[in-house]
Parts: sequence; C-alpha cells; structure tokens
Amino acid sequence: MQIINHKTNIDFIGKRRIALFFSSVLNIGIIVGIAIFGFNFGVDFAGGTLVEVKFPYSISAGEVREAAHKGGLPEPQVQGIGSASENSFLLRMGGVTQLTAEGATGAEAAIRGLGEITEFRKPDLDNGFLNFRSKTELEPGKIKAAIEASGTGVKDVRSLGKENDQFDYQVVSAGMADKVRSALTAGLEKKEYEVRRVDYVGPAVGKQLRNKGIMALIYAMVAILIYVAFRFDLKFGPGALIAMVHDVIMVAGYYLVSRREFNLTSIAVLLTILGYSINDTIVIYDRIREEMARYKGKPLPEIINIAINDTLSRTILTGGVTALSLIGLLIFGVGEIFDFAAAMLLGIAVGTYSSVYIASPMVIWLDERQAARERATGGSMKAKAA
Amino acid sequence: MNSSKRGPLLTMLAAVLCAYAFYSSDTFWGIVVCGIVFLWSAILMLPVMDPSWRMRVGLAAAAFVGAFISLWPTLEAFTDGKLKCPAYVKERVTFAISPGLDLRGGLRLVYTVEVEEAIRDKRDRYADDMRQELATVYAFHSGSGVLKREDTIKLAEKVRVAAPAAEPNVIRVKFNEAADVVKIDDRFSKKFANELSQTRGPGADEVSFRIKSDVESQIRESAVAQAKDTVMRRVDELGLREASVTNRDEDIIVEVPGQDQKAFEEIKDIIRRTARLEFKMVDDEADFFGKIKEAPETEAQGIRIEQEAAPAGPGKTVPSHYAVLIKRENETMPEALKRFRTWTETLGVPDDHQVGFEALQEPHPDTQKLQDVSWRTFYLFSRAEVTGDYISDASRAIDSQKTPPEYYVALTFSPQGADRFEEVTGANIQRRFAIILDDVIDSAPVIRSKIGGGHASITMGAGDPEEQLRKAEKLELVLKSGALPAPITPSNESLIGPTLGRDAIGEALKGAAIGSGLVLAFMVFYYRKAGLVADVAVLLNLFLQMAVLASFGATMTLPGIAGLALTIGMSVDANVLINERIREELASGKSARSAVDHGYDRAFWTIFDAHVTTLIAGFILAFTGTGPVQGFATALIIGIIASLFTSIVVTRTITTFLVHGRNATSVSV
Repeated sequence: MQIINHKTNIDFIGKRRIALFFSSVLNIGIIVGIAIFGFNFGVDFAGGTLVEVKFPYSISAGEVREAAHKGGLPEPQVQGIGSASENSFLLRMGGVTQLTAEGATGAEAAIRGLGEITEFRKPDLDNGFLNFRSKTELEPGKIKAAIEASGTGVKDVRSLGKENDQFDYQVVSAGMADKVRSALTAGLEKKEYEVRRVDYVGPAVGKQLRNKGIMALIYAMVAILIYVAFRFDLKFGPGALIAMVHDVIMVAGYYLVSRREFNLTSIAVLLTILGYSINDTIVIYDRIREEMARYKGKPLPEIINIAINDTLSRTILTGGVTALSLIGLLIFGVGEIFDFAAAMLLGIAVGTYSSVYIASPMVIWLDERQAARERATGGSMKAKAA
Repeated sequence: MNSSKRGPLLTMLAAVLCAYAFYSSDTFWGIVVCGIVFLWSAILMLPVMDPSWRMRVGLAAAAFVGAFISLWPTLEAFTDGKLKCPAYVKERVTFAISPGLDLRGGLRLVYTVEVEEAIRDKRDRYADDMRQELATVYAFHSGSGVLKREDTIKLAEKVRVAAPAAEPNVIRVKFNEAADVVKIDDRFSKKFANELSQTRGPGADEVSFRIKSDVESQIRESAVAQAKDTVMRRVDELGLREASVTNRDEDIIVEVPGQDQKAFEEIKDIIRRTARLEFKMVDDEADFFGKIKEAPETEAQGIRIEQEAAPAGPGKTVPSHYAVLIKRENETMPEALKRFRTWTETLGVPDDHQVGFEALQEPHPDTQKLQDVSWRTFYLFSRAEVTGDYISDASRAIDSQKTPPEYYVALTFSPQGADRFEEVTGANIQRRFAIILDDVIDSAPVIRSKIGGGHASITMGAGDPEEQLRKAEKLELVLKSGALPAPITPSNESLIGPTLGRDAIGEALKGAAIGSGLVLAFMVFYYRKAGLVADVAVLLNLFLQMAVLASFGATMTLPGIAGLALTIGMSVDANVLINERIREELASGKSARSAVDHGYDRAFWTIFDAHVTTLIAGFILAFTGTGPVQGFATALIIGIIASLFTSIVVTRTITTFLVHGRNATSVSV
C-alpha cells in the first residue's frame, strides 16, 4: 500500500517567504505573550496550596478530582495519602491566594464603583493584597461584598486609617484553600468531609534548578550546532537550531494560549519535541546532502525541493504514525496526561512543518549570503587587480 | 564434522563447564553469561545462511535473553504476577524499574528547621566579634588576625562576653568594674548598630545586646533556604533523581518515590545529618576537671577523673584532668553520652567554654577487635576557630599503613579557610585542638607546627573496615553537600499515593496501549511483511531499553516515559526510512535483493546522523540537567542506542533472511 507517490513535485521552497513570515509573526507573538501574560505555572514552579481532606466514606481519587473539577477548580491534582481505606487525599493547587491579575482588574472596577478612589496601587499578587485610598469612608462589609461579586474571595478588609482626609484600605484575598473547600462542597454529592491540613508549599523547581535546566538546553543546542556543522556543512547548523527553537516556542505557545498548567510534564514535552525536531530536520538535511552530491551544479533551491519531495512520503508517514500513537492518550488521558498528548501532537505537527519550511530555507539563505560575500570579496580582489 | 563447527562446539562445552562452576559458587550473572555464550554458539552452528548472518542472529538472541532476565522481576511486578518470575531469579536480580513519585507515590517526609540554632550560631559569631573589638579597646590586641590565647585570658579578667543558652538572641557584656562600661562607646555601638540593639543593664556593670527582629527574620529565612538547598544536594548525591524537595515556612518537605523501607531509612539518616564540622582549641591550662571532686554519685554513674600531661605551648606541659564515663553493659554509646552530658551540665561551665566528648576504644577481650567502650571529656573554648563552611572538598581515602587499614575522610579547605587554619595553628603550636563533627570530638591532636596547605582529615574510629567504609562514604557525601545551617527534626512522615492519581495512570496506560497497538497495526497494514519486521524491531527496542533502565535501578516517571516514547518514535521512523528507501530502489527498477541491500546502506547514514545528533543532546542534558531533565535524558540515551541496534542490525538480519535466504525475487514492502 502506498499513500504518497514518490514522484511528487511540489514547490516547497517557493513558499518559504510566506512560511518564514508566518512563523516569525507567530513566534514573536508567543514570546511577547509569554512576557506579558506569562505561563500558568503549576505547583512545581510557582509553589501552591496543599489541602489534605479525609472523607468518612469510600471514595476514589478520580471521584474527588471530578467533584473538584465540577465545583470550579480548573486542574485539580488529587493524590491518595495513606492506605486506600483511609479515604484521605492531597489536593494540590497552583497559587497561594485567589487573587489573579484578571481578578484584580475586576476587583478594581468593583471598588471604583463604590466611591471616589484616589489611588489604587499595583496589586500584590504574591501575597494577595489590594491597597487603595478613598476620598470617602467606606464600609468594609460593602467592599468585601463588591469584590466577592467580581469573583475573588475575600478574607479580610482592613481599614488602615486616615491620612490627609483620605481613607486607606487593604483587602486580603482569600487563600486557595478556601477555593478548594468551596469547590469540593459544590461538586460533591455527599458533602461530608474534613479538611485536615492546609499547607502552602514553595516550588519544587527552584530558580537554581530552572536556570540549570535552561543552561542544559543551551549547551545541548550548541553541541548540536557543532555536530551538524561537522557532519554536513557550516550553513546547515543554524537552520537546525532555529527550527528547534521555533518548535519549542510553538509548543510553549500551546501552554500560553490554552492556559493549561505549565509544570514538570510540560518540560518533558518540550524536551521530547526538541528531540523530534532534530531527528526530522537531520533526515531532510541528509537527503539534501545526498542530492547535492548527485546533482553538482544545480542551484541549491532546486536541490532542496527535490530532497524534500523525495522524503515527503517518509515525513508524512513518520509524523502520522507518531500522531497515531497519541490518539489513545488524547481519548483516555485526563489532566496532565491529556495536556502531554495534546502538546506533543502540536509539537509533531510544527516539528514536521519546520523541517520543511524553516530548517531547509535557512540553508538557502545562508548559502546566498555566503555567495554574496564571496562575490563581494572576489569583486574587490578584481578591483585590486585592476 | 567440519572444522568450522569445532570452534563453537568447544565454546559450548566450555560454557557448560563455566556455568557449573558459577552455579556452585552461586555467581548468578556468570551463569547468565555462560548461557548466552552457549546460545550464541549453538546459533552459530545452525545450518542456515552464512556465518556472519548467524553471528548477528546470535547477537540479537543474546541481547534478548540478557534483557529478558534483567527485566524478569520488573515484568512480574508490572503484570501483577501474571508473568511469574522464579524465586531463584528474583533473589539474584536485585534491580528493577521502580515507578516514580508521579506514578506510584512514595514517602513524604516533613522536617522542621531549628532556626533557633541558626540564630544562636549567628549570635555566637557576634559575641566573637565583640571580644575581638573589646580586646582592641583595651589595647590587648593589635586589631587584626586571631586573638591570641594570652589576650583572651587577659580580656576575661576585665570583661566577659556571655552568650546565655536560654536566650539565643542575646549577648551580655559584663565588666568586672562598673566604671568600664564606658568602654562601650559610640564607635563600638556603631559597629554593631545595624544588626544589634543595645540596652544598659540588667546590672550596672552590664550592657545587653539583642539581635534586631528584622535581622532575626532574615537569619530564619536564609537558614531555611540554605537547609533546603543542602537537603536537595544530598538527595541529588544519593542518586534520587526523582525526589522532590520543597519548603513552607520553617518546614522542609522531601518526597521520595518507592516503597523500599530499607532505602527510606538510609535516606532519612543522610538527610538529617547536620554535618557541622568545627575546629576548637582545647583549654588545658584552665584544668577545669582538676577542680571537680570525685563523689559517690559520680562513681555510681561510672565517671572517673583521670590525669594526663597536656602540652601547653612550646616546650611546656601542664598536668590536666579529664572525666571518663564507662558505657554500661546494656547501654549504647549515644545513651551513655546523653548521661555524660547531663552530668557535665551540672558543673557550671563558663559561657565562653564548653565540654567536648570523644569516644575511647579498647580491644575486645576475645576477638581483639577495637570497640567503643567509654567517653572522655575535653575542656574547650566554645569559639569555633574554623568551621565546615571553609571546606571546599571532601573525599574518602584509606590509610593502608595501619593494620587493619583504616578509612578516613580527607578535607580540603577553601583558600580562605586554608589561611585561617594556618593562622590558627601558627598561634597555637604545641597545644591541642579538637576536630568536632556534629558535637562529638573526632580527635584532638597536638599541633606540632603551623599547618599550611589547607588539608585535614577525619578518622572513622573503631569498627570493622566495611563499617568504616560505609561511615566514610556517608561523611563524604554530607560534607560535600555542605553542612545544614541548623539541625532539622522530623515532624511528619506519611506514605503518599501517586501525584498523577492512580486512576489517571490506569487510563493513560490504556490510552498508550491503544496508541501503540494502532501504530503496530498500521505498520503491518502499510508495509506488509516489512512492517511486521519493523514491529519486531520496535518491540525489541522497548524491551532492551527497559532492561537497561532496570539494571540502573531507574525510577520511571512521566518525563522518563516521554524519553521512552521519543525513542520508540525514532525507532519507527528509522524503519519507515529504510522501507521507503527500499521502495524507492524498487521503483527505480532494482531487483529485490539489491533494493534491500541498497536501501539499508543508504538509509544507514541518515539514521546514524539523526540518532547521533539526538544522542549528543541526550548526553548534554544528562550531564548538566537535574531531576526530571536527567530522567528524560537517561531514557533517551539508552533508547537511542537500542534503536540503532534494533533498526539497523536486527531488521536487516531478518530482512536479509527473508530475501536472500529464500532466494526471493520479490520483497514485501
């Protein structure tokens, strides 16, 4: 059986400018997006809240997860603790307070609706504080009600006193634990349970570890650049590298846009995509190298087109087969594992795309520049000779 | 019989004999190797194909058998005992893949950092600085370098800088003459004003200092952060790649994957070691224990006062006394020490001094082996001259001059530490200094001359060599990872389930099985017989990879599985590459045989380059990354090597047989 004819003749290289433009815009967009909105970091990175609950009846971790999810927690991590008969679970949630950037904006609007607010300071998201100054005296109860109506739980409204005839207030938003509690109560059929412990934990992946990981990636990229330059040609290296970075950014984009939790599993996905991207690029490079040896003298863009067309059936097959292996996980996976599969699928798609449209055209571009430089130096030499 | 068969036959015979020898000495892996050699030789003798083909089949078979045995116990655990592993094998294959914290859960340990200790430590350092400063004020000291012993004694006659045990953040400076209080002038106060608040009193001749609250909270925070870092380093050094270390307030939470109680005990032991190393001077001239009278109570405790001639500076010795407590029959050494400490606490040791304890050994009357029998005291200055902070490296070594050979841990000081050590030893020639590890004196040698170069060593005491080695290994590990800034005490311990949730993992396994099934089925559907060959290669790849991971005793976590999945993908890709190449060759009109040969030859370099590039990335990630990154990289490296082997050697061997062996004129691709 055959899906793709070996004798395709599609002009991939002709569309390289469109592809390059498209990819650059998307990549820059994602980077800017990360800079502005940031990832939705999971407990592993941002630290978070740990709530231990015990049920007086038999219930599984899956049922608890479902209940919490139904009650409004986006991605609850539920983990059994002790033996199964104890019915005790740990719920892990990213974040310590309920206050988010969006929540703070909503709360600000709500507060401004109460009276004349002369100053609204930048919300302290780490500790969950909102500080503002009002021209008139406000009732803490009303402030609390207004903010809670905007969707952020409030633990306390502190009146900080009077200064220059104006009134200072501090709003302390409720902790994540309250959110977990209310979600469980809302989502459970039998609402009996006991919260045994609430812990706030720091990140498992500290700054040091994060920096170390980033350095590891950079070293790996440099080593790949050197190997490719050695085995192929200097002008092949940057293409492979850029394709790799491109793919990693695209997959990071998945976490950015979907607002799914960015955690250790996401790191595993990014690393896997990195590997996939290199593999795919090298296979096409290898064919380009082969065709270059066969058709000496042919212009490079034409050779690359032949190489890509020749390997097209393999490219599509491998991509398709790898995607196929993820279908089961997409159907049955929940939480982190679903994210894993979805991000991988995206990574495979962009990995395949980038080998054809990014890595290979980069070679042409570098080749053209090299030729131009040679012409320039050759020209000046001629000029000298003259 | 022709000569080509004689070699393999002899090898088989030798293998059987060796296997028997290994069996009688119970060397399991020897038997396995012999079995593999036997199998390989047997395959070499088969009357099929050519010898080089048989060689390759033998290699593949050997790899398979070796992998299967390595993986047998793991497979039994994974299939819930459906695939039985005989007890004989299970007892001898000691390793297995253990699922990580995210897949199986493990032990959750909560420790509380005793920040009070860190504060006390810092306070003691301020007290030292004050002594130095006061000595300058009294003009006993030039103002730089270590305070000489004579200076300290002269200073003590004028003023005492006390660090009360009950209040860890307070220093009291008590002058012998109340008029001297003015010695603490503005200049002096200013020097400490940033960190300490100063009050007159309680007595007229006293000035009290207290660590400011913001400084105190800073000390607390940094003590916890440092303790977390240290615990993390220790966990890392133990090779627990997948353990997680987090903190909240003054607690440190360590989560260790697995269920192995014995391993947990060892981990707990190493995590808790404070590993505080201090060098303190022995004050023999004061002869503190010379003033203690033996009384009936002390005798009842088994405490004796002994006398020795102690060095006290160049060419001088003084008689010095020390107390000895003999361990009771039914008592352990730590219990005896506790008893000893309780007694010494009643002696009224001045604030700037302390009593140190060293274990004494005696040969056992029957076995003549040295064993710990008693504790003795040393009267020390409480000020630590050099601490473990100045250690840059530690490594265990063996002193083979001694019989039996003794293990010790060699210390290397940082340049700063080396200078300090040289200075301190230079100022105290012909005196004793105590090397103290976790509040117990390891040894108290006499300083013969100024010690330069920045080296010192810690002996492992009595005990059989194996125990010494274990002690040395542990000490090396904890010293390398740095001391804990304050002791930590365990406050909670519980077994936890997988972070991903048990049911989620079940679903994921189902999903993964379906996905893999689809891929395998598709390969057969698309490539027919060649697809079947590819499936064999992919499965064998998975198998080999798992076996090697098992032999590392690896912990399998989601990142590890991602690495596994990537290499399986690459292995499929390699087969796709080969088969597409063969199709191309066939399309260009080549015969089945030459299409297969050419296809393999040409695909080889593609596969090689793609694999090696990824392998390089894998190695760099494995060496520079930590935690999950390393887990991923390990799986990746092993998988890539397995994939190279299966897709190039194994499939080619099978395909060659299908095409050449049967003289096929067509190839099913």
